Amino acid sequence: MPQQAEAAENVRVQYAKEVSTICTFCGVGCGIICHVQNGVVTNTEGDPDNPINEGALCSKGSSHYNISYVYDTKGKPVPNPNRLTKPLYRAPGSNKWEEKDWGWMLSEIAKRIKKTRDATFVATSGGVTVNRTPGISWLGSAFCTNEENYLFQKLARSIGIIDLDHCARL
Amino acid sequence: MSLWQNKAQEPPGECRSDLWIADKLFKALREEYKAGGKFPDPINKMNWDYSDDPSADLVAMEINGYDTTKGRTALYNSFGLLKDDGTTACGDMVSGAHKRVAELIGHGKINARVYGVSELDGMGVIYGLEDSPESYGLPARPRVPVSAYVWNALFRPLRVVVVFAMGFILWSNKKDTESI
Repeated sequence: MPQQAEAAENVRVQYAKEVSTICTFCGVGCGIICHVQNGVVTNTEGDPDNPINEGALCSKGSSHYNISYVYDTKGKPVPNPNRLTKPLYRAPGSNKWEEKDWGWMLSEIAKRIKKTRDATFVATSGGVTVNRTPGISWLGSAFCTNEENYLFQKLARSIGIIDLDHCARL
Repeated sequence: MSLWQNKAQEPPGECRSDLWIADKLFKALREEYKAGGKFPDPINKMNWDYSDDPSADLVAMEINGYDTTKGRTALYNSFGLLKDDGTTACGDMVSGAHKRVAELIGHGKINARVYGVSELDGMGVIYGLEDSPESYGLPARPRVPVSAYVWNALFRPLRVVVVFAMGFILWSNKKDTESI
């Protein structure tokens, strides 16, 4: 009996919807296309229509898909087990991370900010009103968008933080 | 040019965007300062209205600047329209620097100036200086040194030579690498 030709395999992105996004790994801002099927990202690749990278991506950018999914031993994508899905809290002096809910987390951070701010607040220096909080410093993130970093710095400035910086200020 | 990120899929578990975290953290802080504390005005009276699940559009409109009495659709196209009576909101740091310098001049620092905006077509960092730049060891009119241009022009042919030389060395050693 003649051997039957094997049917061609369907391309993974054949029925996927394309969503354009921007790579967050560095400040270049390369365009990435996410292929989404049934609400799940199935593939990511460089956006050829983006004038910044014209479809090319560096090794970090091209591994963007693996933030959410990694491959099991059979090559099937499974959700990345290293990705955090819950807020984690480590008490001072403790060596364990505990799972906490967002409400507790945010109010606890706010309480501690208030405690430190009220203890170290400087209203005037040399006769000039300065209203600053030297007891706290704040670090932004390169993974945030402009809008997110804007909100963070607005928050930080509202409580008088002057040691305000960004992890990618080289 | 403005780049925009679109949401591709729902976040796993309890993951939230940083916009959501910033908004909720500020609201928690405001809750703490309702009972009072040191200088609570900037927290309690801050213009903070990004709805419960804040959208990046609302924040982007605020960075641009708008008339708070008319709402976010009343966008500004000039810094000259900004006022300091609470009827305007704007996230621009350049106008903030000029405002701060005006305040310093009011305190008798007559040499105060904004530094880093027009110098070298923007230096990436805006300074509000209390005194002339020279007193901080900064050049009054910074410029790229001529020697940098000269050396760059001198070494350009050399760089090309080095690249070709590397290519030639690799090619001439092709046999050796093939045997490995």
